[in-house]
Amino acid sequence: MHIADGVLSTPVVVTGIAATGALVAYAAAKTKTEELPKISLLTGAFFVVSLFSLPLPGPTCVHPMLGAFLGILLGPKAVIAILVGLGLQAVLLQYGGITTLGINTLMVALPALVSGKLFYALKKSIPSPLKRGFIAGVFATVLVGGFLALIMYFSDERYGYGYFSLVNLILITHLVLAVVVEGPVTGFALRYLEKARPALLQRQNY
Amino acid sequence: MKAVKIKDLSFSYESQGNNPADKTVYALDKINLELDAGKKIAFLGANGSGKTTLFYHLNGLNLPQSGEVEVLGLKVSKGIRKELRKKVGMVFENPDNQLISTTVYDDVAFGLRNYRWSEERIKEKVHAVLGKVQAEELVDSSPYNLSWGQKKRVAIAGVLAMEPELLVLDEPFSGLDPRVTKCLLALLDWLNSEGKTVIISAHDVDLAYSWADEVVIMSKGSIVNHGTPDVLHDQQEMEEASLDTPILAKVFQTSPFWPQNTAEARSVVERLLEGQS
Amino acid sequence: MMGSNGHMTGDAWRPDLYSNLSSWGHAWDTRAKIIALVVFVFGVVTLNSIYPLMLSFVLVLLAVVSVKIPLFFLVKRVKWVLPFLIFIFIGLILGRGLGNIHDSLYFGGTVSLKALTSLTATLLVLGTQSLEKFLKGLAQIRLPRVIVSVLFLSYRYIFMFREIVQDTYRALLSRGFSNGFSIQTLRVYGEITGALFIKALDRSEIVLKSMEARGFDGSIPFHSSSERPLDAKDMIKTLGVLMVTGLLLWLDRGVI
Repeated sequence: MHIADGVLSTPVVVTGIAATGALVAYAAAKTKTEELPKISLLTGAFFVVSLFSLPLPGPTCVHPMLGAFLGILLGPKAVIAILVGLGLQAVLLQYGGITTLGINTLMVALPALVSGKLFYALKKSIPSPLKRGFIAGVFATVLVGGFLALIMYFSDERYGYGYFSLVNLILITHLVLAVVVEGPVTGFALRYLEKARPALLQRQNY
Repeated sequence: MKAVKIKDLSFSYESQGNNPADKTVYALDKINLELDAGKKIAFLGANGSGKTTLFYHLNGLNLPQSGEVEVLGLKVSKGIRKELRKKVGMVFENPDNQLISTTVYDDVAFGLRNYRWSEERIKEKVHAVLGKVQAEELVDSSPYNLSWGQKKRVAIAGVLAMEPELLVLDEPFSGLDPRVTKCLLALLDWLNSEGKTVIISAHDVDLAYSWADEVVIMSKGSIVNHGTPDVLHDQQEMEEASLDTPILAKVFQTSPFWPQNTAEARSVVERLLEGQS
Repeated sequence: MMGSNGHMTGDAWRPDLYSNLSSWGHAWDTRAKIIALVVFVFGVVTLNSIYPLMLSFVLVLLAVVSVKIPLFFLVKRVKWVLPFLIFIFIGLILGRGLGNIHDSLYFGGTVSLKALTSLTATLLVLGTQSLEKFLKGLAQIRLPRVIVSVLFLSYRYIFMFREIVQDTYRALLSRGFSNGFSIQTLRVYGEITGALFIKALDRSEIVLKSMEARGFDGSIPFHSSSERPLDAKDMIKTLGVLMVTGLLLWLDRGVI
């Protein structure tokens, strides 16, 4: 989900910028020169894949986030890929906003990092990359929904009023999408990787 | 003078596939080779024979795991890579892997900016080399939108701009139509006439036979033979390397004549016909 | 996935379709434009009152018209935000009841105007020079080296990846794949994703080699100065935007 400019309060926006700046600085410090093409091309792939229109029942479709996937492949450096990927979406497609690029990045990147760690932590108890990928995808999407609901609520309480509030809508849709779309797609993608390039699924250095 | 001196070079890497039988790939096996400067040299071999892996040693993209590689008097090691890459230009098989910038101008300028050329000199050089490869009209184009042949020319321009003494081109003719291939051959001949050593890899045995001064045949990480294009006459050796002998060699194999190109072959046939009449 | 997917086709990735026109916006230096845009958008999102917001939206719309970007193009590019804004209104009205409808509409209105003003201003900046020039402008305003390098390199390759995905999809359709909601479809999407990432990783290794072969040492070098230095007209336009932003903020603070 891309939050447009003006939806969030100034303190939330500024916090998003500061926190993303810190995360990016941390990731950049860990990034070696020779990793730049890898991060860049994965960013490009992330950008393209996140524009897939996955069909849902009825006349609707949804775009996958695949943050968990990037977190699993890149570890902390996923923040850079996500920031640039979302930046490209803002520039090429006008998705998201300028002031909200920081918070949009944080919203996808933090769950991505957590899910990436979870994926590797579960390896002994759940060897199947399909199942672990499903769990990681679901977990990341639920976290994104929760994060988004929280920042909306902190921006303005009015977003949270009533049963049909935007906050409730966000929570429900993310929960459904997590189980129905993001989890399966992430799981199948990781199963494919495990079959074709098992060396790629080595624990990333956090 | 020797452009390249390789002594007992071996190189292996870990396979990325899922098959445990393919774990370690022994890409090069005790290679010994010396190549003269100023020549046109063609490396021939099937896919996986080690040509590209060997090429990567020539400008330090791979460092020798055992043995020694010396290029233009410089022993290939970590410390001299930047200096070496000024002298050894490498053109990759797939130009999409090489054209990384958003415009042709910036891509040709890429190497020059890495070596801190001034923008004035860069501008002059970019236009000059694009002119040499007949791609000047593409200067502001996006590399993505170019045809395959155009991409190949721009990729070559990007390397030529750095004024290398030794030019290494990995499968330069793959995917090109005959007209563009002819232009590219003419360009390589011109570069060689300017004193550059030109090394290519190819699958087209006939092209290598007519073009090269020296030929190197590789198979399964080893050098099978090295010498003048006559080495391509040995049918058994060529078959073992999964290559075919040149058509002209096949046609004239039972004769005392060994024309290396169609002009020479025509001349031989004309003399034979004159002799008969 | 692809056939009906407007995000993957044709000019979807080209907000600069009208960048070859001629206007005060097209002549404005890119770096100065970016700085003006950021200041303006930050100013607009801090506005609280509806009248300054309406004024800001009208001003930006007039600016877009004056740089000759067609309004239908503008609508096409910003329409993605409309469902979200509608949801905000619905959520506010249903959640807070009809008793608070005035406040809900006011709040929804301010949010919508901020979003639309920002998007319109962004399109004005993006639409008045080529994307390549815009990216260079970003590089020249001193973004971190890592971000700039990743941005440029990823931009270069997204078009190729799009083509790979489109080719893959055509091959799937040729073998009877149908794009309905099913576990089979999700599996296909997952595998295309995995395959594309592997292709990207493989390619990145060779790209790194090709960059190193030309002396790459960690940052993608750019032209050190823009094609022309900033002139008085650029400064006037930028200062003009800053003054308008200041005026809007002043009006906002003074309006109840």
